[in-house]
Amino acid sequence: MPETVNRRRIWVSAAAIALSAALLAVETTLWKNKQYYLTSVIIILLAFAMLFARFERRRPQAREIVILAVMTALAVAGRAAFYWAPQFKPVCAIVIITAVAFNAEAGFITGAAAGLVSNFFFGQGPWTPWQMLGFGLVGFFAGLIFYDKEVKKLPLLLYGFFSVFIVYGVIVDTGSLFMYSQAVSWKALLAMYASGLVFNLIHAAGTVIFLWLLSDPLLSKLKRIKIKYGMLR
Amino acid sequence: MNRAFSSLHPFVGMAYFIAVLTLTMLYMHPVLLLISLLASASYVGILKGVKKLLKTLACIIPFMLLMGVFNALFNNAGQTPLFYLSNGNAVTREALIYGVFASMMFAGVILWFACFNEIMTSDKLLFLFGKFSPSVSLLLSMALRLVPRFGEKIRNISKSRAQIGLGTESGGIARRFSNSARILSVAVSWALEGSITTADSMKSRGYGTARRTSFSIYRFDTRDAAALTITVAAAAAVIAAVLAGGIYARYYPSIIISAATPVSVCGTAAFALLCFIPHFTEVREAYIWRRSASAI
Repeated sequence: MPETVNRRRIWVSAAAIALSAALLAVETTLWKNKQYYLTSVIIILLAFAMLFARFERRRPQAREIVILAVMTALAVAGRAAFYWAPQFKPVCAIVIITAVAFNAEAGFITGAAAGLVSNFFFGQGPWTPWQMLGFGLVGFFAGLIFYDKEVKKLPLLLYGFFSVFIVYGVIVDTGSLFMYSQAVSWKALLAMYASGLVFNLIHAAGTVIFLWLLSDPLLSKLKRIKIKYGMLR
Repeated sequence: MNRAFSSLHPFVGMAYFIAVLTLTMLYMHPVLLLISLLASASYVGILKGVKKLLKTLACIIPFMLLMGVFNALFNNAGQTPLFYLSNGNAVTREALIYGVFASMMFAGVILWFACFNEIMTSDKLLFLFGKFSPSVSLLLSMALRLVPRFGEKIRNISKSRAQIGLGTESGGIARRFSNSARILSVAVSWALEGSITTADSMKSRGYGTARRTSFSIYRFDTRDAAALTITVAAAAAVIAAVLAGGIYARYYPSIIISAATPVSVCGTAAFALLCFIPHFTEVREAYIWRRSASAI
């Protein structure tokens, strides 16, 4: 049975990741060998594995996969188009719109996929899992808050600003601190957020602009597709 | 470019990079860090040429300096204060030395990732991903294909809109911005309709009725088995040497770095073997090629 094989594979991988997380946690506490970066990345991978396993178990339809691939590609192409302007990227806006139109899971998968795929163009690095998690969670929360509701523009713009500034900014800056140093303290963390403040502000403001311009046309287009073809219900 | 090391099975490449990256990050031992840095830098040189290597290094060095400063400022652990800052925090010798090694580790990781990006291309990663999550892997590979297609379509739309004075080159900033957004929105309509056609076509060809097979040109042969065995054995030897207490480095409150003992020498040699596997693979391939070329 193809299903059972897939499921077993996913569970074996999840168990392997959980085991390594446990080993690292033991090492961190017992031997005072502070492995913040490795431990946190393994936990992030575990979260991805569980969410992807859920998606896989649902046996998604072809239409669903193709639509999410289109939204992912749109986010990546947008990031590439604005590559010359640092931090000014439409990825979060498009991920939020996807989550509002479909659901939280679709938002997370589009965000995580956009983080991974865009780094095929810009270069993978130790930052990839953090960006994937950041984009994914911005989409996930957008789905939790706005999916299946009457969406007004102002709350959406406010969500765009604060989710990028707080959720994405904090996740990616925490990742940078773990990469840079094992001297993790609240003071060091605050210094890291302060140094990323301007970048995060530009990113959040850019997201608001993109949401302002794109949310109405894109949401109505996605709605039309949903009604016309009766999908993702 | 076609490299001997990149012709190995994706699984072997992935296992190799996971081993070498984890071990580089895991133990902050100066000798191991130096070996890792040398190996990664020279392999970037082999893969992309010395010019590209120098360029990459020029990008990394400011970050390394920043990291050194960051560690010295925010890390007050250590017992030998060098001087005091205006806010009363001490800058310690231990923190400074730790900062040097931490930035070496960071440079090593970035350089290994530069090699990773050359060796583990998107097709290999998608192949590995498909084993574990076929739907997400399909989504990723479709998105990867759609990105350049989108770019092309967007260029077409913006050219034709420029003909009626609604391009991205005309008008003030706000005008240009809303024109750009309009172009993106037109491209989305096109892509969404196209996606439904694609999906229906997939369905009528039997998507979802059976397990999806995927295109794969990778075969796990004896060469892959040998490379995997050496990788796993060398990594295991390093971990064994660490567990036996042979390789040890502590920076706070005072610096203790393990001296050379038979165990630590064996562990370090195993780590060096691991780090230089790609180099051996390239040299061996070049040697075989030269020999077979001269035999003609």
